[in-house]
Amino acid sequence: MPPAACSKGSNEMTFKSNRRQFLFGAAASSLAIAAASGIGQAFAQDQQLVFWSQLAGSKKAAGEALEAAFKTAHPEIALNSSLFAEPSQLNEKILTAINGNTAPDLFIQHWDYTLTYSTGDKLADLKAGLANVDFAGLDASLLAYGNIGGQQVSVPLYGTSRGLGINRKYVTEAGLDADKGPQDWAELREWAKALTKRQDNGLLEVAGLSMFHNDLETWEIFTLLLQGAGGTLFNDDLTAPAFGGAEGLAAINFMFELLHTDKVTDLGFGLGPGGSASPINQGRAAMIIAGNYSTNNALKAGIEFDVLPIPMEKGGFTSLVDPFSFAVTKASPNQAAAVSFIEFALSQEQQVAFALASKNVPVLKAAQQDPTVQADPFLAKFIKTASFAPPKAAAIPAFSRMVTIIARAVQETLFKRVTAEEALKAAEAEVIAVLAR
Amino acid sequence: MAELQLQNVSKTYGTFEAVKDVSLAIEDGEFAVFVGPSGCGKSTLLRLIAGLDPVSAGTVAIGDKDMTARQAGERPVAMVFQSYALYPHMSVFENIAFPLQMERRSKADIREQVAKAAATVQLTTRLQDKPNKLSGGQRQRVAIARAIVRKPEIFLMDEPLSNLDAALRMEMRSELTQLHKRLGSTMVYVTHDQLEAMTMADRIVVLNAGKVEQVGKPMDLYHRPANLFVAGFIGSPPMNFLAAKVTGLEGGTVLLEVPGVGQVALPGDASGFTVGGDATIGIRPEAIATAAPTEPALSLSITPRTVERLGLHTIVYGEQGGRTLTALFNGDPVIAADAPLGVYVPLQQIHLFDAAGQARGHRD
Amino acid sequence: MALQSSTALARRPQSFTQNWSAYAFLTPALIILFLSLLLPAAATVVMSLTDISFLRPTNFVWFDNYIKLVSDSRFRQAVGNTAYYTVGVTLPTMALGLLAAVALNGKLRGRIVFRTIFYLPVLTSLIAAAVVWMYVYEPYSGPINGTLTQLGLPPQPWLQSPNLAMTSLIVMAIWRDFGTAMIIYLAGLQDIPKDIYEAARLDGAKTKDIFFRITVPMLSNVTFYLMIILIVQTFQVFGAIYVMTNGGPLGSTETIVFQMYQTAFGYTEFGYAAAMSTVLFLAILLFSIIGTKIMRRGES
Repeated sequence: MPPAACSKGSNEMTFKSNRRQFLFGAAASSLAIAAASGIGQAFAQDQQLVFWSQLAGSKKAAGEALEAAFKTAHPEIALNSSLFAEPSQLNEKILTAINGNTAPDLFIQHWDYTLTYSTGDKLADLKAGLANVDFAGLDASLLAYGNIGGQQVSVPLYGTSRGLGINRKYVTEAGLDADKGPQDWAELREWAKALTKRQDNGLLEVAGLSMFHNDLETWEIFTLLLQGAGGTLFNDDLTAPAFGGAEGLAAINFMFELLHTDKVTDLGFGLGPGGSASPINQGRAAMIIAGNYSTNNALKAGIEFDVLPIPMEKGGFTSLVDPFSFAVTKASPNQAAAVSFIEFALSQEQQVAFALASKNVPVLKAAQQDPTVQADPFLAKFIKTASFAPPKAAAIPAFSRMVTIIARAVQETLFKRVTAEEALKAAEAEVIAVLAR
Repeated sequence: MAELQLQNVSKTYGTFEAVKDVSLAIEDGEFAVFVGPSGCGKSTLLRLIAGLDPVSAGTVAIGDKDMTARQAGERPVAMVFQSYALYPHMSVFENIAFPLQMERRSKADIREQVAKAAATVQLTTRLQDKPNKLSGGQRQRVAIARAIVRKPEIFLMDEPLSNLDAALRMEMRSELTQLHKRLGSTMVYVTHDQLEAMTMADRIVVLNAGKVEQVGKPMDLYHRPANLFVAGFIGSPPMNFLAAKVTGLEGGTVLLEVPGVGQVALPGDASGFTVGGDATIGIRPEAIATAAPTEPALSLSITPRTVERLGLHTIVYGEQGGRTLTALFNGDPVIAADAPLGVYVPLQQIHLFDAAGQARGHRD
Repeated sequence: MALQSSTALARRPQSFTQNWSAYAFLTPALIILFLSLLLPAAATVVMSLTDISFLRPTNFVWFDNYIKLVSDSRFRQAVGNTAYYTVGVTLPTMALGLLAAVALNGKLRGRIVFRTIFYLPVLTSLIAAAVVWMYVYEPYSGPINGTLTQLGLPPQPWLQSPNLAMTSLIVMAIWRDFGTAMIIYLAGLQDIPKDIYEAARLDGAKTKDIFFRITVPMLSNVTFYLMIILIVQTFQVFGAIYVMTNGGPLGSTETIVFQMYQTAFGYTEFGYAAAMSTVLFLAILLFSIIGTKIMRRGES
């Protein structure tokens, strides 16, 4: 009943508004009823779809284009979407709504939140739901982040991947081959040392490698190095942590040496949270762990930015992907409409369009290899680095908890509060306790 | 040798002249009262003496030392404020001790001085109380004690009694007079109340619009006011003024035509008058009598409109020649309202003022 | 006796009627207060006795959450951080507010301009102020490090160092709050009669004596009032931390309310967060009661 829904929406608004807005709202809702009944005669809009979206910021335009295209393609579905500026904002809304049965039919959110929601059995299994989607055609690394307990609780629209972001000018000036890049940790270390610039008094001018600026980035660089040393965060069935072994130690020790022995960066200057601008954009770092989101700002800042794959300890490359995923609530009365939207968004045409507009890695493998997508130099590079990501993901409900625990362990070591062994041991014990709950 | 010497002292605030060229000497041990209507500059003058405000021009000397450049607190004066200005967070003891503590005196010395001052003002039993526990009179005493401990050369008092009720005010008036006698120090006392001035002062300074109108002993001001302002200000009820025209000047006599009264010849200094010019005669209410005196007197008929009987006196507001005359009679004479009453004023007791308001022909 | 009781009887119905209309006027406010404050507060206390997550089925765990709090080292760190922040903000804010108020209470030229400038930060949006201060503390291009570098001093990681971050947040909070303290102190100073200052000057008190012996003690009620509102306010600090440091580095800026938020919305442990909230509420209540008692004693 779209006309009723329209007028209800308007009335709700007027409750909070002043009299003038009330009159305007009343007029608007009358018009809406008239218009909707007119359209209703032409198209039978008999399906509702409430969609909460976090496609804001750099992906706002791409998200709007996707919704507009969907409306044109599916006039029978009345799409009612709300945009949330921050993942945390959407999270607060969903957590309170999911319990009061006012949750949307469909939402798109940073993947780790969907794992939390799935613990209450609140999300539909999309493996069965998306009948028209060929899961084999989707990027396995990205897809893994929505797979929990054999269920596909979320399906990515796109993801970002991690590479080594470099300042080509500094690299070339240091006599290094910016096209080849470091091939193993030893070379990475040589690069970082060679690219570090300090004044005579020791004042840092350019960090050879900027490591992290917040807890999430701390977790990322640790995980990338852990993978580089051949380790994983968890055992195969995700029941126990595995980062506390020799590989984890190697990862932390490598960071420790870069920081304290090679002094490729300083606390506050490419190490530690805060700061309103990325050091690479200011020419204060030669290398960072970069994602798709890094490109635009670096180029805008006039940096000769480039992306290389992240080397492993003894050769080969690794990466992480970070998907943004759709989820459908189990209680939704409009699951069919929600599935239509996801299927539409996973089509070749929409995947290519979204990737080009947002500069993110599409989940559809065919779209990744689309010539127009490959023609975008940076997009192609991040699609390439995404291919180095392991097909397995740390898809556990307590993921955000684990990020904090690991970040804390790494930082405590780097700030020399505890040894790497102590930090990792304590972190593993904490993760085990969290998993047990 | 004068204790307090003001020389050509002026104070201006922007374009407003609060004190205009005042020169004044107060003798050692004297009780001087500055009196005048509100806004006359008497409090400002006191603040200039205290050093709370800097003078705009002139000098202030105390005991022969020039104090003009010294700040408040560096002058040998103590002040009692109209509001008492006690420190509300301190006990009576701490209030009195404060000036001594500022002099960094020893604890024992402070205790002794405070005890002495408290005894002088009979507050020994209230030393631990906070000011808000005290009555108005007691607060007043604390303020006085706080002034006493400084052992100032001059006490300055800014309308110290105006916040008290009438009975208490009378009591404190005599207490202050006695205190002055006991301490023997110089006091400068500001009031708008001529009664306080008359009863307490050794010498009164009458101020008006920032200027000194007259300085003198209370009875001198009463009997020989220098001008219309002083004549009207000193004495209660105030003096009656009757406008007159000068019709002739003969030697030491001024001939006047007083409307509603007729021809009057008064002894006076002719130099202030011109024939046909204006003059004013002043008659104190208490100079009016119902019985004809033996000496030459002016005879008038007044019609009493209001009769106020106070027991000791009777005040009559009567109509005479289209104006109101105030008369004060001793005791409780039989006077009927609205019935004409013949009265007499001895010529000797009539004050004569020239067109500029200056007294010409002082009478006793 | 008989007379007294009859007047008491006569008064009672009147005061009841007066009260009745007073209650009638209070009712809308009371209803709003009940729905928006008391009901959620009571619900929080109930929630603190459960393992509510809004996702999984809820069970009563009674005092388990509180027992867990006692041994939770992260919560203890948050309590310590909050206490440091509270003391660090409250005392300097009051001291600076008092100094500014005393300076601007006199006849200083341009005092209106200064008052406005000092009060302006109070009016800024917290988020906007936080973003500006992130720029101020920016390690590469921020004005503070820029100045230090110009002077040949080493730049500091203001928000990046676990040793400096909380202090940096405190400095910002002082900048933002001392205008409030100044305005309240100014109002308090206006209540001190001019006569008392003049009496003190005549008593030989110097500027320093007047400040410590007259001004400060006469403002003691204002000081207590300010202290209580600042303590209650700083106990609940969240916004600036959420924007500027997210509790880092190394949890050095994690305060009770920030941890509450993270526990509730990050880890979906709403029951445990409710227990933290209840503890915080009790602490604030305790401070308010102590403060009120001290103020009452000061008045008598």
